[in-house]
Amino acid sequence: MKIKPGYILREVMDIFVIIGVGSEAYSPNEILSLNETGAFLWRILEKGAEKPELAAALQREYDTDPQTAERDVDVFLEMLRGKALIDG
Amino acid sequence: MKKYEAPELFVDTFAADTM
Repeated sequence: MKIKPGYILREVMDIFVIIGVGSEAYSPNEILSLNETGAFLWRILEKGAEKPELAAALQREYDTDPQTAERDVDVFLEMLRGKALIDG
Repeated sequence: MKKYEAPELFVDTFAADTM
């Protein structure tokens, strides 16, 4: 799965803001942002990755266990799907 | 190894006429 074209992530004053740069991507009444961990996963998803790879990356980078990483990746991906930010 | 915080997506909604 991968971040859909037309979305970019920018860090502004410690806030990770998702910006829609195409007419289809633009959501006029919402500001979407991520925490630091979410931004970490977003950057992996920009290149494309599946759930196991995302969970493994979380474990390498952060102090967390496999079960927590897998569960949180699931929840996070559902959040992104809910806003139609990812393909796959 | 960084301190872990669950990844989150924040959605702030505002009225169109605030812009």
